[in-house]
Amino acid sequence: MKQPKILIIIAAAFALMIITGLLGSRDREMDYALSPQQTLETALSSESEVFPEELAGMLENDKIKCQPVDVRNPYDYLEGHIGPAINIPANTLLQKDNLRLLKKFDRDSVLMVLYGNDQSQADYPWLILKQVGINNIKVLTGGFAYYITRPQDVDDMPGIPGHLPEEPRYDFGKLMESIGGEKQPRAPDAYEMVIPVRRKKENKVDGGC
Amino acid sequence: MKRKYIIPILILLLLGAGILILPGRSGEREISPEELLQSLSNDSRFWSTDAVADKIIKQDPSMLLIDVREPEQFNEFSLPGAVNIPLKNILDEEWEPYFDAPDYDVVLFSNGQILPARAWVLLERLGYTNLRVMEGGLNKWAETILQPPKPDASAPGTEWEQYDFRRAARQYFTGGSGEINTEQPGETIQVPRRKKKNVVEGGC
Repeated sequence: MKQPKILIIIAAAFALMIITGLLGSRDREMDYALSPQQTLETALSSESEVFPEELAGMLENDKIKCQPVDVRNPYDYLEGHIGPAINIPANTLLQKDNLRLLKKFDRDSVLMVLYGNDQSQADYPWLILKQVGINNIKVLTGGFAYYITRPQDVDDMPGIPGHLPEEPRYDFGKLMESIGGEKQPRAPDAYEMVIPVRRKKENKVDGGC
Repeated sequence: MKRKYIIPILILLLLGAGILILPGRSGEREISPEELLQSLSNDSRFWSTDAVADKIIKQDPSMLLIDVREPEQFNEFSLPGAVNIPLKNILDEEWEPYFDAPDYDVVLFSNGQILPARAWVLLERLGYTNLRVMEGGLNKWAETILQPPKPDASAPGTEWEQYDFRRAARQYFTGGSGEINTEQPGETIQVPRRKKKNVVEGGC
């Protein structure tokens, strides 16, 4: 009669250990709300940016709920920031209190506009916040540096706007031609790097009689 | 006696099954959102256009250039040796060996900084290492390597050294004739590839 009782106690202890271990690890690690494929779709979406003029317009309009979020360090923030912006340095965005605040904005359908000095400083954290399930969030085109120096009349801007970060500012082909003197066609084959692809082991055919 | 054994055995079996299923839930090497955010603080992901130019000229085989723009833009102009993997195709299985390459520095670039930033976040989450972004993109490339600005006469020596390097690099990349004799681009960078082994055929 004694042995089975000991067995039950051991089993219960074992189960308890595993359950606490699993709960602990789940508690520590935050889960992604988006799969990699969904994240890619978000990254490709054209509705990820807010233009400076748009933001300025929204801030003047009381009916639109909008919250600029400055992700630079507190020093830069104190040097100057967009009027009603709150400061959450990029590396603290996922801290409990900050995340709770961002989620509250999200629930209240307040549009959050992330900005750093340049656009890419806010773009990295933006895609991470999207992945943890914050939806109502965009990035300021051109960042803070462009926001404060932008010309007031958008139509006056000459040529290709310098703040659109993905626009080619040059005709690269013509530029190469004008410097090189002669046309230098890009020859991908000549430089192609060969990446060793690890082939899966195939079963070798053993012939026999 | 035997019935009393059944309950603990069942509990253990259930837990065992649970453990088997749980790790499969998230990706094998996927890092957590917190780790992803913290990896942003590491600036070593940014490579300057000068560093990239230097490695291309030296034909450094450990660097892998990935152009994440659309094919039309890639066909018009790109960096020598670059592979075109548009952002929208970045998760396609056929490109996986290019990112799952711990021995290489994988340098992502586009015209600017936004497309590679998004590619970087996605690939970093999946646990790939040595992912880099060319700072400023091809726009910066045009401004620094193809059209290097001349430093002031009073500028420190390091700036002049950088200017000299950029001028030499410009000659290398554009093929303009100059007093500095550079190797003609066009040599193939070869990573040794294992030869196919003959399948052993048995016989009588």
